[in-house]
Amino acid sequence: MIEGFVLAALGVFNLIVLTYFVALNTVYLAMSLIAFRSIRRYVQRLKTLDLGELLTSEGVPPVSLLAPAYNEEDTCAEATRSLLTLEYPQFEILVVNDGSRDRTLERLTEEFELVPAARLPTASIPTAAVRQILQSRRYPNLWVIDKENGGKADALNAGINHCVTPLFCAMDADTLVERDALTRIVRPFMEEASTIATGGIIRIVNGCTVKAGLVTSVGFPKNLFARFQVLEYLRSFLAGRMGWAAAEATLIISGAFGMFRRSTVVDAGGYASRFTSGETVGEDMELVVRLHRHCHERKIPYKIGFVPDPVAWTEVPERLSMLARQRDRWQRGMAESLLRHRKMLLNPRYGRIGLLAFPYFFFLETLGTVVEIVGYFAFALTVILGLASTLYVTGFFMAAFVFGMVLSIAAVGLEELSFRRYPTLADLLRLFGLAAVENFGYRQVISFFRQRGLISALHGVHTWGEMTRKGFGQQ
Amino acid sequence: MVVLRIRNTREEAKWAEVEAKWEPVILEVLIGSQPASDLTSRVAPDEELYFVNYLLRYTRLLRGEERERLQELALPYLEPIAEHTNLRDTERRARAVQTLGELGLPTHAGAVVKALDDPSPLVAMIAARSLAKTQYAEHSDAVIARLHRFTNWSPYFLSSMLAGIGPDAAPALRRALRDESHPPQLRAVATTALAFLNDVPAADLAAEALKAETDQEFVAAVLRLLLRVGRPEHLPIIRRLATSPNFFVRSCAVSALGSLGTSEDMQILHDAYRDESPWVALHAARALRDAGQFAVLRELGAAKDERAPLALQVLAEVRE
Repeated sequence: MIEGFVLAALGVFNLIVLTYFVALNTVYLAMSLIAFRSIRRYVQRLKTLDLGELLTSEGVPPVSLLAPAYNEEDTCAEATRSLLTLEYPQFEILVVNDGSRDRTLERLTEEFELVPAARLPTASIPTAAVRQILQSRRYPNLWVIDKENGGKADALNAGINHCVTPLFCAMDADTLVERDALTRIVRPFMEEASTIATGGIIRIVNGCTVKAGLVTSVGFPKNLFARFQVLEYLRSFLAGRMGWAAAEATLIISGAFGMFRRSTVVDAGGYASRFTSGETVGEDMELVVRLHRHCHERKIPYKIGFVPDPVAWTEVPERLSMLARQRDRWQRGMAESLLRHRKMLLNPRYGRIGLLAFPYFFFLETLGTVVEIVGYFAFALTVILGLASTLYVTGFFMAAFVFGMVLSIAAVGLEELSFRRYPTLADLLRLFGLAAVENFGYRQVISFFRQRGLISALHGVHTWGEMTRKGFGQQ
Repeated sequence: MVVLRIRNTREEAKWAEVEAKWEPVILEVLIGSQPASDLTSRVAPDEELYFVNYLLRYTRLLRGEERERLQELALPYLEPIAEHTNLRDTERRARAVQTLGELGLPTHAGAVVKALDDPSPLVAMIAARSLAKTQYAEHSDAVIARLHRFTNWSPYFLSSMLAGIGPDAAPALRRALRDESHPPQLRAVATTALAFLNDVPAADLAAEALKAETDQEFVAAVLRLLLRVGRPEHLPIIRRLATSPNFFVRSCAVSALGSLGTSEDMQILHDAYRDESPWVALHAARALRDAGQFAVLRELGAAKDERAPLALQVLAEVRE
């Protein structure tokens, strides 16, 4: 009788797993189709964009670039130099040294001739103590806020407090932003005055040639893990974020590169940190979710979107241990953000965010990882016990592997139809190869890391984990 | 996908080859040292549309005679593009209007003005941007009359665009400022454009309009205008607004006082420097600087209070 019960439970669970894969991949497919239409229109629209006209217009809003730096002595100087070369009429750079224990501040001071300067905060989001404010003698638009360590969100809040422009761009200190990216990411704020946040696309710098803080030639990484991530990023940004943006339900703007309206972020209380609404490792997603909630609850008309042409380049982990920590942190961040705002789940008061985006991220992207991992084991057990019908095996294989592969190939197709940053046919063929191979091992490993992240989130773990970077000179 | 890539690569190679035919002579033709026919004779019938796109790349780089030569080069090829303004595809219509706006004015002005009423706001905006230039000031009324179509756009960008028409746009902008049937946001856009143009006659109109309109965007726009072209008789209204409960309005009023104010207004600026809003304080400090009150700022900077960095910050801005 017990055996019968176990078998029945296994059967039911297998059905749940199958339903999960079908549901997840159906959403991916829907997003890819929406993104396809959206990107085609966007690429056509870009032809009518005259960046030169925008750059010379008095009506372009000034922006502040907020770059938090913690132990970034290897990359901070080059990344900051890269920011100084951006093409934009009026911008300030606020590097926030978040209590680095290495020579980050010394490197910046030497490189840019920093001297103590006065600057009154314009907002009062609580942060760790600011020790001093420094300004470059060579570049008057470069400022460094030196503060006690408080985490990335806290550093960003310190930057927001000292921001005097209507818009700010949140980024990582090691992000390389393309020269015209600011003009491109600001454009939605000009075309739609109710825009409060936009995200740009993040691409992978591993394998590229970087000179003087600029990516001069795009190459494919040599490292296999980095290669898989190229595909993941294409899928995530061109299919996922583009699709959700077209559905007006953007829930994530990458912390590596996003533009925000300062006044709205200040009104919403800034980033979540231990000095504000409580620490989270997913401060980027939490802020976007909170902005949605803030605007909905106060009936403020707003738009949060994604634009696929402003590019920021970032280094991705090449070692499995670092990748594990990163994905663990991302999953924890997502889980924390969604749990914190669970009131929005399936709540019609929050429109398509509450009814569409939130349930998707909550059930499929957050809780779904558990179903996925356990599902693989259950599937293996079912096959080993000889209980799986041919129909079930075929269904599982199609839903979990073939469907996934098709979606990855679709993401490569979106890149091919739009920006074609990987120039050679060999690169394209490699991407196809990866789309097939990643389904057998890599995806399962990533799901395992994500599941661990979810468990850590439920245990209240808040650590970031170290990430060793090679530095841009070695790409 | 591989076929698509191969096709795209071939297309690119083909057009690179075509451009290589034009490249050696285009600059010579544009500076007038070679006749246009030296270039146009190299344009095959199936390359005409691409040729126009190629010329479009030069539009922002050229001024004066070179720009005129560029337009002359394009003109014979624009008729089919003018027909594209009637296509169903919004993006293609937008592209056609942009091309006509950059290379086909004034010959194709009719099509561009008509596009101001295009059902797509994108196409209408591209038409407006093409026409909002000093050389096409005769169309300023048409552009300003369609302002209500662009209310989604950033007001500051719209004002800047309208100011691009130059002083000839001022009468129509003044009418828009005065027209109480317009929503205050539109009147604010017109007022800020007049401020960009330093339009002196607008000052009295704007001050008068303040009596009946309290929208904060509009009030701020009027204060920006008065900052640039106001006269002492406008001071009472600015002083009144310097104590507005709205910090945004207070900030703008304080800035205007820095430019227009007399010695009796320095106390208002001094008080505003202590305003609870850091934005008002920042504007007050800059207003003190603009009023030449450097000794006062140095004194405030030497004080041992939390606002002292502001005075030092503003004094440092002068040195930059």
